[in-house]
Amino acid sequence: MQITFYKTSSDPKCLTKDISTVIGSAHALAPTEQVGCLNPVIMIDYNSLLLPANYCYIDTFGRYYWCNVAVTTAQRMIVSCKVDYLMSWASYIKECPATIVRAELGKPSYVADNKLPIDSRRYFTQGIRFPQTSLSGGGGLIQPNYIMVTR
Amino acid sequence: MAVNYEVWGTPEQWCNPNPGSGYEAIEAKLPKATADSYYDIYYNNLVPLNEIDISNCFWGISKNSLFLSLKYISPYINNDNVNVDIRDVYEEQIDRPAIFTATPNGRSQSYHHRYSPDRSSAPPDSAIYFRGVVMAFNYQKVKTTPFVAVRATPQSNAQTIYRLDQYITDNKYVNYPYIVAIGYYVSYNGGNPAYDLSLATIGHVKGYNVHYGSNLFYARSSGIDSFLTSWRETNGSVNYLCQSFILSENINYNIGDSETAFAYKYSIGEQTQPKIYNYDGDPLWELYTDYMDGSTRKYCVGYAIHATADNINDVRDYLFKQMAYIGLPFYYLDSDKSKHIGDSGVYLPKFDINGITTGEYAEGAAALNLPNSEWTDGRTGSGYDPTRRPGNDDYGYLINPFNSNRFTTGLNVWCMYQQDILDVLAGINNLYLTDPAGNEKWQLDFKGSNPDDYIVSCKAMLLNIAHSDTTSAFKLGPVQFDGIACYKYNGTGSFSFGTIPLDGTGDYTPYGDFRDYQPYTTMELYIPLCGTVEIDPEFFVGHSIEIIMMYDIYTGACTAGIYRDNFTLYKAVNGQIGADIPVSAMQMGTYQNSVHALQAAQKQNEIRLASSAVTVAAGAAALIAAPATGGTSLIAGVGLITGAAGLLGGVMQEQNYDYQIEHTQPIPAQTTAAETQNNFCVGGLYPILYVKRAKMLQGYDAEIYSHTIGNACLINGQVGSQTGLVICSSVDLSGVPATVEEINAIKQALGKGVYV
Repeated sequence: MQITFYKTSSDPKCLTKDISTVIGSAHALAPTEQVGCLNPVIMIDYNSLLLPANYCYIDTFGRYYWCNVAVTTAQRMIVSCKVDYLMSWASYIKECPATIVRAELGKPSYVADNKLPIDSRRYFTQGIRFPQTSLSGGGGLIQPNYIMVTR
Repeated sequence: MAVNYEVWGTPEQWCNPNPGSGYEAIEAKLPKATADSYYDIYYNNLVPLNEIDISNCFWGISKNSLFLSLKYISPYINNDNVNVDIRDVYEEQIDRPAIFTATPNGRSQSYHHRYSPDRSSAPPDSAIYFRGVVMAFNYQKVKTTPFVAVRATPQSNAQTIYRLDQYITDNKYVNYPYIVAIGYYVSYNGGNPAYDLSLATIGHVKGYNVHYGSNLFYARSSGIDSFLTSWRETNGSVNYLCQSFILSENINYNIGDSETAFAYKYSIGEQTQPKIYNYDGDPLWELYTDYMDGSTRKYCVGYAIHATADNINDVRDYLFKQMAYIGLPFYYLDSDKSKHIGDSGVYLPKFDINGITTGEYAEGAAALNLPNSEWTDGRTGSGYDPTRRPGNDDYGYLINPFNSNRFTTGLNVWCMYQQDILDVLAGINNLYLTDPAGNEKWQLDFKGSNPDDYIVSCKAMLLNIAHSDTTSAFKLGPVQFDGIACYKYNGTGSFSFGTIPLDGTGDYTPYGDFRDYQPYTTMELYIPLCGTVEIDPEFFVGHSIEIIMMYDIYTGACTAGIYRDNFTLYKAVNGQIGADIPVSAMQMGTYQNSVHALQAAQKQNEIRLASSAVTVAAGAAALIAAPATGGTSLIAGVGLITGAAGLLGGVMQEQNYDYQIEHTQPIPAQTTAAETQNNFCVGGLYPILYVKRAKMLQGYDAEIYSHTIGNACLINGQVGSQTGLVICSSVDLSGVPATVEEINAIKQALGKGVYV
């Protein structure tokens, strides 16, 4: 059971984590007890370089895990793992058809957004004048504004 | 209401409205002051924008017009028979509408669409052309005059242009007997038609065939197998005018055949003199060989009228008839080029009851009896019932029948200053009150009517009213007041307040998202004289909004039409643009009635006097007869006494009546309560669009909001189709080889949001 340790700062909500920082790797000495693929706890030899690790990959399970590393008195380390199902199945998830109701579009769309922080008390107001008119208030003094229809 | 297709045919049968690609429409360019600069629209400086309105005016061009017909000749020419009888071709033809409408220069293409019934595109700088788009103009002010393009021989390459009147009166037909083209010049606004007769000017064939004159028969089709082509261009800049049509390819004619071969193939020449007949069966056009291009010698069939001293009057009448088929006023000009409808030498076409040109015309004063002598405008003042315009139901046109001169026949509509009205009233008073002979004059003039019976209405309009250029003597019924000169109304019944773009190109910048619509954005229009109207932003954002005001000069009512993109009517709201000026108290009638009553009573007394005399005579007769009959003398004596008493009373009463008549005076003509009961409250003379838009809470950052909360959307697609935050309401995870716990967790995560 090969375990590769990483230190990642990716948000857990990220489908794909940044695992560019590889700290090291180790072989499992023994599981502490019966372990499953979702939350395995594994004992390895002590290696101080692995202490900052918060993320790992276990080849046996083919999954990525969030992990905590603990040190024992017998020069051992206990690695407690919790599967990262997003990273582990990211390529599959991306292919899945979905109804997306929110997305990072950069700006609002034409779908009404009831979470958008609109001020309910203030508005922009704008008055735009039309460019031309034929109306006149001349009153018949400066313009022939009177119409008389005669037979 | 819809156009009468039984008479007009269907739009598919009309001229192709798209000269840019359909090549069937006919167009003419209004002249510019200088030659060869036709792209700068001359008319634009002459046509006030407020004369351009939404309403199309159109009439039908008779199928008898060469204008519509000659293109149908070609399919009937073949090797065996070069005689062409257009009547055969005409079997399927119908009268076609000619649309006159507005295309102001510089406006967007969509503006053209608005005026074209089927919204086909049109060249943006065309001033006039038929069926597709023609300018709104003052019908009466359009001047057209026919010209002819002539040659010494049918095949001559030398060609010259004459106005028809020059051609005939100067006997130019002697040296140039072959008329190969007829057409007309156009001018507008009372100006003279363009008389630049140079070939270079008249023969331009570029793009949309812009030229100064419009050929009476011009049609073109794409490709070399055109049925009829009107223009020949040689040597690039020098263009020669001819009328010719190329035989279509299906008769095995090769473009570029030698003249000899051509003549041989088709036996066309002086020997055979093939004829073209018009619909009336008149063989006017003769066919000749011609060639299209001087350099490559592309031959085709040409045709010409052979004018001689014997038939020159017939030729003139024929051309006049063709001009009348077009429907525009035309002028057979002499040295006086300032003539107007009603003057000699100015001809006005006649239309039938369906608005189709008839080929007939009236000249001089007789033209004033035609309804179109009153047409002022290329739109609502049209001859054909505008409510039967095509597309009227579909495109939201507003109809202003009150503006149509069809309703003003027999009426005079005066455009007056305030002082004019006072002058009219004073004029009436002077004529009938101060003049001692006023009573008799009134009876002679008005035949018992009140002068104000002849005033249909008088309104003060909050409007710059379009009026005639010159004043006319004011007329009230049968009486003309030579001392009072007033303008005549010359308006269109409508004007536009212009357009506001709401697509981000103007002062209004839309959000480009849901906030552009209610309830986040609300819009109101303040329309002068009509009030405030709420409009739905959804209808206008991303488009443009235009307000067109129509007004009724008779009632003072107005209607504002709110349009999207210049032609889609959204709402129409009513208002009042004219205040009633109650020109009253012209109590001539009341006064005269009083006089009449008194005179009648006076007459009655006179009759009673005479009646008494008769009674006396009868009594005397009875008295004389009394000895024979007995007992009757007493009755006769009573009659005698009664008659004498009536006589005395009648004389006294007559004197009394004379006194009363002398002291009965009319109330002077005046305006009462003018401008006091109809005050307007106008917030401004321009409409204003008020927009109230949602404002974001302070601190809102679109980018961060988008990244952390996400913008609402509805996207059906793969999760990976988006980048950044994605929240799914539903997802199908089939194909993900994970445990059920993981699947459930993934679904839950996607529902809350993941970054892809």
